[in-house]
Amino acid sequence: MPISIEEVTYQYQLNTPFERTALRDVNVSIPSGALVAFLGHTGSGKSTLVQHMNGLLRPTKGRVVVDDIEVRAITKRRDKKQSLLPLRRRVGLVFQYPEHQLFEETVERDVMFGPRNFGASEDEAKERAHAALRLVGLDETLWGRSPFDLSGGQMRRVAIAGVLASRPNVLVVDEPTAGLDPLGRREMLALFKRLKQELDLTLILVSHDMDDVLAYAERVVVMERGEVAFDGNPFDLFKDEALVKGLQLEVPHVLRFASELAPVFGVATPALRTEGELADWIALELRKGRAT
Amino acid sequence: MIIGQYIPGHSWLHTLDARAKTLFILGFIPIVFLADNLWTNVFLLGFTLFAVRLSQLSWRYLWNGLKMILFLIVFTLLLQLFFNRDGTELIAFGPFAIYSEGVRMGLIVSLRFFYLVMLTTLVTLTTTPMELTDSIEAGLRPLERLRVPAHEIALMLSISLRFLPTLADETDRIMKAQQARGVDLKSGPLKDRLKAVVPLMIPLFVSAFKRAEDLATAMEARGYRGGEGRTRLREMTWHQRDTALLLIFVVVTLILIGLRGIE
Repeated sequence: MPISIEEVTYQYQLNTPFERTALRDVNVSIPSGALVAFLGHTGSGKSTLVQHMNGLLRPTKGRVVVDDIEVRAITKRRDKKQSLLPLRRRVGLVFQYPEHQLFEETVERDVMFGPRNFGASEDEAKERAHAALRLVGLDETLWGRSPFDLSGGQMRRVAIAGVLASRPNVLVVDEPTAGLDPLGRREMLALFKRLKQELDLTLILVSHDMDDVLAYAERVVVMERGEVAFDGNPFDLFKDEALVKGLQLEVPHVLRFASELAPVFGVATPALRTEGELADWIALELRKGRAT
Repeated sequence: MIIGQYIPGHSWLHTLDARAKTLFILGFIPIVFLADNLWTNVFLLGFTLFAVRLSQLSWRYLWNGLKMILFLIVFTLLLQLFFNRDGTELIAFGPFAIYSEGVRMGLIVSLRFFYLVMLTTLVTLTTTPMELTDSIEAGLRPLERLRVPAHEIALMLSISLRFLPTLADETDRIMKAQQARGVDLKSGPLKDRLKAVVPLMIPLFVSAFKRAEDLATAMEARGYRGGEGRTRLREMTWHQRDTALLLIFVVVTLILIGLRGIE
């Protein structure tokens, strides 16, 4: 499902002394089925921007178009009455620390909450909840438990299932790996990658972690002071060290390692995404070296 | 509503000691009742507007924030207009009649209301919440001999004030998370909207309790053991301008008493 953000400006606390422009004339268009990462340091406007994608925030100026639904600033009565429910069903948003949104008595009931709100019948909601819980790999024995009895990682999976159960076409995830241990991070990212393929999702990833972004994203959008500072291929971003520094980002470990090693081998820095690829490349270069 | 909000600034009102400002407001409450004729009200209105000017806050912001209170003021005015039956009858329509005393009392009561709300708002807008609680602690200190736990009361107040914005952020986040799951908080029948509060309140309570426990642990880890013998990071200092404020208060009171005589 394509998303198009056109000339969007957003101001917090309009008409008060605390008025602050969070987004300024932002233009981003995301084709259906893409995997896009949004980068930027705290306060750069990336979270504000993604909240426009399912109508949680409405632009102060400009418009957001998702598929055939248009959201613009409230200027007429008609805008105010517009129901955003259809939009919210199609665009699922997983917030940072989503486990904080759990509230029901059982895991199953919590996951059913979304589909029930979007109008599914009790049986249908249950069926969708079960499918979603299987997708995130939560053991069936836990479905009847209280979500507050689970571990942090399990709670997060329940919360993600709670969003997936509404069967969105676009999934926006805000810092999905925050507060997880290294293994948990890897599993979480692998989960989203798998979900994207199995459910044919458009996936939007908000992240601080350059390694994650490099490993998964086909395209990165960097936000800086409410504006789009970079939009393109991750390799084009990370090979320009001055640009990366200027945007207060970091070169991912894999690329930094490769760029320091490349002169030793006497070759150009290759486009590598993961540690595995890095290892293969080193092995290949070493073998080449031995042959000569 | 803007009471309780603090707006940073460097006006004369901002630099005053919080204790002086709290004392002034406490004293101001009774003397508002001295204003019962035209001249006392003209004077107090002028004084209030002058204070607003002095705070260097934008009129538009104050006005927007006071709209809610304005409703209450208009309501008192109407109450007096229709139910006060003293003085001479001015207009009569059907079962209703407006009397001269009704008009006079209505205006006076709503004006008093206006001065009080305006000046208290100015105090909270120009004083940080921490300064306010410090001044409350200072005020309660003499009562410690009567076993009033002054420090604890002030601590509770400052902790609640400190966590208000945090809780507000948290509420906003959880609300958005549930809205993303299809909760409609802004429309629909009242019954449904009340039901929608549950998914909001439970996560909020869970995190508030967790936060409280964490805070208690953090305080104990840093050796907190009550108010006795505790030194302060922010010492409050009393300047000449604070004494000046109290003098202004005395002068205002005297002027009001003087103006009461004029009819």
